[in-house]
Amino acid sequence: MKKTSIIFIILSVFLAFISWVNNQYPKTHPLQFVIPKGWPAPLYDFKQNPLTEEGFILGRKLFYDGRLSKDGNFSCASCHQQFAAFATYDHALSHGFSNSFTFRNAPGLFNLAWQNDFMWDGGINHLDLQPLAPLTDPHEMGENIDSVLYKIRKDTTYKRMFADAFGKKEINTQLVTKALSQFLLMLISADSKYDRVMQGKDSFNLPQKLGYEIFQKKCISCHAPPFFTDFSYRNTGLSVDDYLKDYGRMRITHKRVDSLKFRVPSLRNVQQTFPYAHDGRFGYLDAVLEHYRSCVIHSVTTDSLLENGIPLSNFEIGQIKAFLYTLTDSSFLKNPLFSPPDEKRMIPLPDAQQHALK
Amino acid sequence: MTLKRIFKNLYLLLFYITIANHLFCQVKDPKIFTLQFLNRIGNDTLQLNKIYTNTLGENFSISSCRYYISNIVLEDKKNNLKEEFSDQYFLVDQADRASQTILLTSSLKEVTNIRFMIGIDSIKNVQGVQEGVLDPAKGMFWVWNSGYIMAKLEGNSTLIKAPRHAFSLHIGGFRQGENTARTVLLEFKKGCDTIQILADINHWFNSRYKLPLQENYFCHEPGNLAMKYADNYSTMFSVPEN
Ligand code: HEC
Ligand code: HEC
Repeated sequence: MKKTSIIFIILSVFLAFISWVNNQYPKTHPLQFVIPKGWPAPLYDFKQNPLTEEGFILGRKLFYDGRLSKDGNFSCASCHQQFAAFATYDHALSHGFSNSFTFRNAPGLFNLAWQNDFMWDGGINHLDLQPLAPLTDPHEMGENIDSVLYKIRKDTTYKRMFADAFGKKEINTQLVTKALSQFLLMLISADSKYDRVMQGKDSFNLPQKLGYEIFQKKCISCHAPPFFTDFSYRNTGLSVDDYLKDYGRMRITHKRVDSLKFRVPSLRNVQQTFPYAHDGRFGYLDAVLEHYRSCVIHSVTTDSLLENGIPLSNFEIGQIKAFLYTLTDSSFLKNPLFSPPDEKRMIPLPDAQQHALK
Repeated sequence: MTLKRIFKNLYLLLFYITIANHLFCQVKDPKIFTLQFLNRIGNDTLQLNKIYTNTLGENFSISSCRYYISNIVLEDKKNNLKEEFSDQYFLVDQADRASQTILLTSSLKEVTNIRFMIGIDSIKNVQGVQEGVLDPAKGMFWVWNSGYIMAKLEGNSTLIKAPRHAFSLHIGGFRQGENTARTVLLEFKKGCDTIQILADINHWFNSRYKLPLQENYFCHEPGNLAMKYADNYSTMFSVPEN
C-alpha cells in the first residue's frame, strides 16, 4: 500500500471517531458546584447527574412552569418563592390544585445537596424523587407523571433544551427530575452576615453577638452550623393538630419512638420563611421562642434536651432574634440566576384565588 | 486514478473491520432462555374481571395484577455453574401479554433451577429515579414514602364493606424490618430452554397466613400486613411437572 493511502485511512478513521464521539456527547458546558469554605462534601451523587449550564437552565424553566400542574396554575415556584428563600411567603399551608391546601408548611429550599432525606418526615430518600410528590399530589399540582411528560414532549422548546442538556432525543421521568435537581442543587445559601462574620469579613453588633452566644448554648445541639440543622428528627413538644393529625416521622417508620418527630429545620433565612413549624402554626419568631420557653408538652418522645423547656428571658429572646436575622442571605434571595426566566409571565402569585382568576 | 485506489483501500478496510468484529465479538454458544409467567386461580388461567372463589370461600374478581421480578439466577447444578442477571428488572402485568415473557441470554447448557426475587432489591429503592420498567411513571412507586410497590393486586369482592366493594393491595417496603422483597427458588426435573412458571393468586389470601379479603382489603404502605402478604405470595410460584 502507498504511503498516502495509509495516511488517508488513518485520517478518515480518526475523523469518523471524532464525529462519533461528538455525536455521543454533544457539547454541554459543565457547571461548577462550589463548596462553601469549611463545609463538608455534599451528599448528592453528582456522578449520576453532572451539572451543566444547559441542565440548570432547563431545570429552572421546569421549576417556574405552571404547565407542570393539572390546571396550569401551580408551578413549583407557586409554593417555593425566591424572596421567601423558596418557602411559601406568609402562608401556614400552601395553596394547591383546586382550592386545596397542602398538608404541611412549605420549607425553604437551599443547600439541598447536603441533605439525604427530604420532607418534614424524611419520607423521600433522594432529591431526584422529590418533584414526583408535589406533581402527583391532588392537593398540590394534581397531575400524573405521564400527562406531565406528554405536555413537555409536545413543546418544541423543551425538546431542544432536553437534547442540549442530556444529548438524547428522549424525554422521560428520569431526565425531567434530573434537570429539576440541577436547579435545586445550585440553590446554595452561604453568604449571610453570619457567614461573613465567621470569615472575618464583618462583625456582629452587640445584640447579635450576645444572641450568638445564647444560641450556641441553647440551640446548636439541634440547629447545628453550618446548616443550622443536624438533620435529625425530634419532637419539640408541639400539640397535635386535631384536623391534620400529623405524627411526623412515625408515618414513615411506623415506630412509636418516632411519634411526633419532625426534621430539625434549617434556620438560614429564617426571617423570610415565616410562618414556622411543620404546620406553620407560629406566625412570628417570638411565638416559636415563647413555645420553647413555656409551652413544651411533655410526652414519651419529647426531646430530652427540652425536658424543662428552654429558659429564656425577654432580653435573651430579643438578642436571639437579632442573631437569627444575621442568617438572612440577601444575595441568595435576590440572585438573578435563580429568578424566573421570563419575569413578566412567570411571577409566582402568592394567592391561589388570584391564580384561579387569571 | 488515486481516487480509485482510495476506494479500493476503503473496501479492504471495511472487510478487515467485519472480520475483526466476528473474531472479537463472538460469544460462546449464547442461548435464549425463556421464562413464561402464567397467573392462575387454582387450576384456571387468570382472566381479569372474572369472578372466582378463593380457598377461604370468598368470591372475588381481579382488575389489576402486577409484580416485579428481578435478580434472576439460573443454575446448572450438574455442572456447578450459575449465571446472574443482577441488573435486570421485569414487570409482569396481567394486562400486558408481552410482559409475561422474559427472555434471558444464557450460556448455560442446561438449567436445573432458577432463583428470582419477587420485588426490587433495597439498593434500587434508594437510587433516585430509574428508567424503563422501574420508571415511577409505571405507577409502582410510592412518592411520599420513597420505595417501590413490589406487587399490586386490585379487584372487587361483594363481601368487602368498602366503596365499590373494592380491594387494593399495594405491597412494598424495603427497610429493615419492613422488607417485602422475597426470593423464590424453583427446581426443574429436566433441563429445558423454556420454562413456564405458574403463579397461583390464591396464595395471596391463604398460604402462610390466612388473610381474608373481607378483613384485609386495603394495604397501601409498608408494615406488618404488607410483609404477611409478601410471605404469602412468595409461595405462589411453581413449575408444571416436566
Ligand atoms: C402546592 C404547593 C407546592 C408545590 C406546587 C410544590 N411544593 Fe415542594 N413542598 C411543598 C410542601 C408543603 C413541602 C413540605 C412537605 C412535607 O414535608 O410533607 C415541600 C417540600 C419540598 C422539598 C423538600 C425540602 C426539604 O428540605 O425537605 C423540595 C426539594 C421541594 N418541595 C421541591 C419542589 C419542586 C421541585 C416542585 C415542583 C415540581 C415543588 N416542590 C412543588 C409545597 C409545594
Ligand atoms: C431538641 C432540638 C431543638 C432545640 C434544642 C432547638 N430546636 Fe428549634 N426546632 C427543632 C425542631 C425539631 C423544629 C421543628 C418543629 C416542628 O415543626 O415540629 C424546630 C423549629 C424551630 C424554628 C422554626 C423554623 C421553621 O422554619 O419552621 C425556629 C425559629 C427554631 N426552631 C429556633 C430555635 C432556637 C432559637 C433555639 C434555641 C433557643 C432552638 N430552636 C432550639 C429542634 C430544636
